[in-house]
Amino acid sequence: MAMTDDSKDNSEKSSADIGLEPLLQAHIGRKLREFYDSAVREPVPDRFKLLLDQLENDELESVGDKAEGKAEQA
Amino acid sequence: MSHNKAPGLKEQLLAEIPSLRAFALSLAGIADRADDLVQDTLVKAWANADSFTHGTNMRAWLFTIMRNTFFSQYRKARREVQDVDGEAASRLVAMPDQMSHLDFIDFRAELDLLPADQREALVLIGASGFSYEEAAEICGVAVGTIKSRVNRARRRLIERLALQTEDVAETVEAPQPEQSKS
Repeated sequence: MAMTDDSKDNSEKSSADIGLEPLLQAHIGRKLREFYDSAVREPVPDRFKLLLDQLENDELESVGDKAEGKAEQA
Repeated sequence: MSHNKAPGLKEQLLAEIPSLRAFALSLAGIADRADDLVQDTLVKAWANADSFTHGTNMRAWLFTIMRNTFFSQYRKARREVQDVDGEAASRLVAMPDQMSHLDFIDFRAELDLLPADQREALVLIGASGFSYEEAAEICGVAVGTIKSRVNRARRRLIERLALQTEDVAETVEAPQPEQSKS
């Protein structure tokens, strides 16, 4: 069995346990990371950079010198 | 005296966006909705920057904000659009050339069909690289609960993939594979 950290769930035997399980376990881990890593590798859309710029600008304006805040952004 | 956020917060948040988008896609299923979730998370993180303890794991802090936002605001909406998840996934997720298209979609479909709490635990442990302890803290549950959810998620995926494997074998051997599964 590929499972190491749990013994309770192993009572639920099925056809999947016969030989296939280690392969499927590895397959699942690989597919999960492929899915996740492909999402991580996507370029960050501009909307998020603009959002953070906006949050920063709003804050600079709210604490006082508007002109200075804008100048720092330029 | 400065009321500015901690210097570097913006850069730190920017650096975490790729991971936030991946976790959001895991939770929300559809890329458009996932990016809305990322946006809400960034806004909340900015507004609540004081609650971040310096020296601790910023990604874990952001993931906590994100999953709390998802489970409080997005989960209902997700159910309403679940029937198009597969199509949306095929449209919006980057697809490495070397990967089998069908294989990838089948896995995404099965992942999306998991109960949200199991999918979340599986992704945190199996893809995001968090420890069981960290995942438990992010989700606000006991370590044993995370282990149980991960195990149930793996069990379910194994069973589903095993069925698919059998279906493929039956399809190859016989022209009329049984569709008796419920």
